[in-house]
Amino acid sequence: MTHEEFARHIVEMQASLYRVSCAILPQLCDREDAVQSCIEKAWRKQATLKDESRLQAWVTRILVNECYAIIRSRKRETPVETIPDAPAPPGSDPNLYRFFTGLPDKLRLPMVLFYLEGYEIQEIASMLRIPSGTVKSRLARGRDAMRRSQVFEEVQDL
Amino acid sequence: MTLKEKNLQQAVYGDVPESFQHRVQYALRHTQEEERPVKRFTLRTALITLLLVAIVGAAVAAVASITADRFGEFYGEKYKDALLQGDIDTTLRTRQVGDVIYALDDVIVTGITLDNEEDNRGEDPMSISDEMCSRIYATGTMRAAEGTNVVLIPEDYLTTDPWNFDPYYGGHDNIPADAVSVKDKAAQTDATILCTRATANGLVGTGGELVNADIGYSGILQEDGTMVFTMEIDLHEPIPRQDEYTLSVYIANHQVTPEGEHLMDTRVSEDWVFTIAPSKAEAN
Repeated sequence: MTHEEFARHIVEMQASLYRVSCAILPQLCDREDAVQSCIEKAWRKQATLKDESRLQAWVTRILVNECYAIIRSRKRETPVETIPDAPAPPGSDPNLYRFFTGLPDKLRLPMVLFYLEGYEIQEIASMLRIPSGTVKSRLARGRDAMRRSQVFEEVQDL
Repeated sequence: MTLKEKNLQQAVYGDVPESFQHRVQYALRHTQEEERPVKRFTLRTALITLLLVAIVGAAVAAVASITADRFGEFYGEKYKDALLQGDIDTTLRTRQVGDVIYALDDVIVTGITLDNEEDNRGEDPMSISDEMCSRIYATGTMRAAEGTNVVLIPEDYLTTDPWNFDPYYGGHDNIPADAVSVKDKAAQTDATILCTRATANGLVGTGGELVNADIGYSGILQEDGTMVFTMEIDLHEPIPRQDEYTLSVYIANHQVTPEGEHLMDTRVSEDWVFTIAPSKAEAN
């Protein structure tokens, strides 16, 4: 893959990368640090990617790891059920934004990856390095939260 | 709003901020300045190549390892067999922080490398080096210290969840009908609810810094109210096998009210640093 092709793919997926980073890191500056590290690492390692059709999933996994590395390096405890209040970002629906940011950390990321980014369960399991059964359980809990929140008019089961 | 709405992505997190877009462009310019990565065959690479051994279906000598058993449950028998080919430290180590005792079972140092980035560990082809360390695995238990009156929960648990059944691993639909919730269990004895975790910071390098790695972890409730914790340290670059390794593990707990409020100002924590000396597993 040439750098031009790599750059084009990255720009095409930057909205997705932004949303995934939002699911993990509450601060914009950290998300920016994470995506920069992610892009640099992905470019250095891109020779190891065998199937270029999986580039986005592969880059997303790198981004997830970079986000968690930032959390670990800061040794911050992100409270499980308390997310720092922040105004809904421009262009977003405040109710939806509050719902997703109000989810426990471990539910939020699988929910974003599945419902917003369209990844399959096995892909999510691979990204998060957890068994696929765990992904399913977390999504089930997330859907329960959806139903209780009444933010969504209908909630589909898997 | 339904889940089928095409603008759901936009509706949740809004527009991508300009500063984020600028950072993406900056990173791309920075990578463009770097030499295009090519595989360079150095002596080290050649040595690794020569030493890589593909896994075959031959029987592996039975070795007792709680860590291998646990990760075998996660990733399958093939992966368990691969782990058992690593170097294992079976020294039991314990540490108490607050009212919780953290007990480390055994630690496995492996040279497992997955041959592609799909990372479906149970199915993907893999290679094993006996000379390099690429991944480190560990398991342990978290339990209430003797004489304390506490109920333990993992970090993403609700106080309305069952106190001794983990839906993440037992199945959300398989919760026993007579399951007692965390808050009801705590109420029986006026116990304190503690949210506890044990996660690897990573492998400590010779200069005291953490070696670059991806970290995986889990905390799983058991029927007796204790918790099993697992750790996976996936080094970005394999290192030569050593006689000893220094690991850093973050252990912490804090109180949770019966209503589910996490009292973060009650958190007690420690970076538990210890040195392991794993050796090749002995065949039975």
